Amino acid sequence: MKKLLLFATLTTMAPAVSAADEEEKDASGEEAASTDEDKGGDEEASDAPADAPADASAEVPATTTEETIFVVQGKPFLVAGKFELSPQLAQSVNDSFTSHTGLIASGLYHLKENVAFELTGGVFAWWDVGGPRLGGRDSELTVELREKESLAPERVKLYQFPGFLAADAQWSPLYGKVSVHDLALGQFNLYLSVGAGAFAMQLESLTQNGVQKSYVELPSPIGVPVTLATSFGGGLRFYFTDWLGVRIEVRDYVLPLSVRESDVADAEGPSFDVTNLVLGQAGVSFIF
Amino acid sequence: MNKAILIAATVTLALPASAQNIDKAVKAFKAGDYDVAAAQFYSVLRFEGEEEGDIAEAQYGLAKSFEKLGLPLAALKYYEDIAKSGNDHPHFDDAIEGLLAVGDTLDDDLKTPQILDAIYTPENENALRKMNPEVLQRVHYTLGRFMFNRANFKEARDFLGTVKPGNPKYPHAQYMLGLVRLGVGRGDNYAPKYEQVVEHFEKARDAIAKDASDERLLELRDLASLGLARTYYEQAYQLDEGDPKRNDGLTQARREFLNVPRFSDTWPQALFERAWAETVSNNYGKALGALHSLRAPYFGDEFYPEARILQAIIYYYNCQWDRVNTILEETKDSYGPMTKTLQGLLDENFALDEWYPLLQKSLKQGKDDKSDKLIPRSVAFAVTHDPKFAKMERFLREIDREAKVFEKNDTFKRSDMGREMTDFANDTRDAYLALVGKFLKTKVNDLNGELNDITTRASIVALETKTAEADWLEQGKEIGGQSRARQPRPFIPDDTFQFWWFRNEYWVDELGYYEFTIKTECFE
Repeated sequence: MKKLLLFATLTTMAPAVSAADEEEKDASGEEAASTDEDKGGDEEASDAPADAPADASAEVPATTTEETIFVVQGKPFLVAGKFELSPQLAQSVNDSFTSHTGLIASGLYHLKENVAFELTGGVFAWWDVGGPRLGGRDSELTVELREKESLAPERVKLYQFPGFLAADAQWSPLYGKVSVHDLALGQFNLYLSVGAGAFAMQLESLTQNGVQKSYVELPSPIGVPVTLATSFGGGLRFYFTDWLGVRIEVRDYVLPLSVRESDVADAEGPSFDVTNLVLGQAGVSFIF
Repeated sequence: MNKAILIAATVTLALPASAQNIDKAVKAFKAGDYDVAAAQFYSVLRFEGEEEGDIAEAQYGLAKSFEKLGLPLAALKYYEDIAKSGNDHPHFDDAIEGLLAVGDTLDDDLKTPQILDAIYTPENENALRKMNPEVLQRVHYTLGRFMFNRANFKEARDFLGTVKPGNPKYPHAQYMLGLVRLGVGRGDNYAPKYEQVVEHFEKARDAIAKDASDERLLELRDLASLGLARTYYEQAYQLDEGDPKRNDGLTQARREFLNVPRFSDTWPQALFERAWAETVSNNYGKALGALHSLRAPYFGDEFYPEARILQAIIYYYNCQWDRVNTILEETKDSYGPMTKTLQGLLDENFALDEWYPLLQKSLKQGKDDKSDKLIPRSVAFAVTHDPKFAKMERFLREIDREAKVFEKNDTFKRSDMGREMTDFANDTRDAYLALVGKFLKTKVNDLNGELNDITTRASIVALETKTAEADWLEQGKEIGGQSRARQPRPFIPDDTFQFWWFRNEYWVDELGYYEFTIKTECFE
């Protein structure tokens, strides 16, 4: 309510502010800068009581005396021209029929303070009754469908990925800082990334014999079945010293997938899909 | 006959006893058992009919034992005895060196220089000249500083000039020489030798290793930077506006002010003085920014009453009359009652030893307490930030600490030595409290004068503002009722810099970097 009244007060005040700007132009010969932020600042600086009638301020032109105070300071940690190595934990966060957990290692080169190139490699693995193995796993939904409803998703949705290699470009349009009770101060930047990569694939056989998982043989000209992917992502990178930081990131790998009868021995029919493998990643960064 | 036998027996018994004592003392000292050694050396001194040689050894051994025990004040007492007994004493040179060492530990500006001054006589001159040159130069530095404090500037210069590069006191001596050449503390019409001043301050700073970690050396380096800044500023300020040398000087001054490291003890002073340099350079936004930093909670205990006057002057130059008036009213409201309280306290004619307890009580009051029986909180904290007072307080704490050691140490507490040294500490404390009281009284009086001066200057600026406002009205210019919007984001050099608006919240990492965009409201 208070906010609404304040807004109403300022809406009525607006002409008065404009008039003052006009006078300032006459006096100084130059037009006063007025931006959205200026208006925001005026809101903060207004002394009009929050519960005053909206038209009261129109009768008595309120003057704002906002000071323009700012800081331009050198960044405490500069990264341009430096390398960054970042081991991370990754977990798929949009699990529908498969789930992936793994380790990722990224190497970055910071071309500028806010532009970097990154090479990433990762492996996904799981430990189930058959022991540790590379690859993803069926999600709880898939298991439930299979066991309770005797249903199964389309084959194409059951692809799992043992690992991947990717490259991307990063751009940091925003930066900020965080203070923990005045004891620790951290700088962070928000970055966006876009890139491409290749994912190794595996597809479980419809019939599983024994404890060890069995997979269908997929065609591949290079020995390992792979699919290409594009990636989009964004994250936050905190720097605590000039050599150490942490990063959290969400990245969407878009993979075109297909199961064709000609390629997969136990395929029940062709199926196609564009899968979004969204990974939540968190890790530390070493800058050197 | 019986009496004669008794005397003879005493003499024959006494000699071995004394020899045993000194041997035991030396043995304990060598074994690192310094409290036992001190007690033994002391018993040798108390033993009547002791040989001169043993007494001399015991004096030095006792002083050295105290020094080793971390009791510099007690050591000072016995080093003083040796030094004052003259160069015939076999440990005269050692005592001088010991005096310098404990004087350094105590950061003593008072007692050690007085002792050295007392022994720097023609009788001792030859012995002093034959001393290790490094030690002699340290003596000269101490005496140079002592002479400076007593306004004997020529002698101060002569003493300080003998301290050569490489001596641990060389940077200190160069700094002091800078002050001498600048004419600090002089009442006559001395013309400062600016070039030499700059040279001395630069030598002082350059002589301190880049990776130095000694706090006193780091502080000296900051003081040298501050000294350079002040020298450039003073020189430039005397030149006419538009003179390129003036601009160069002010630029150098600002650079030197910025050389004082952030968060150092000298930093708030450098911030405040930089605000003046920025104002004189017409960089009003930067000047207001520096003053804005000083208002941060981080500097809550700093006291710069003149900052408000400077702020008012900057707004005055930019014809922002409403802001000038607001600041001046706040200034009078803040400092008017303070001067009344201070004057009241000064009129009370407290005994000198009452001032220190009064200060301690005043420091404990809350931020909003306004008792007229206590020194105003901000003034009390300003006093504690005075380097001279800080030294005095450290000395007082040392006296108390050593008194407690003699009271509680198992070896000392029941002995004559323990009682004598406790009494010595208590007597020294009483004498020193009077000295601290004298300093505090003078300081409070000075601050009262400063605050009175501030309120007077506030009245002058108020008068000037009223005149200017009247002039505006005569010319048909409207006063007040004008809105001021936030100015656009400033230029940011490149992506190695970051920009933040101040949103009514101080961030410690931003202190010292604040700037204002101030738009003049004056008309031609």
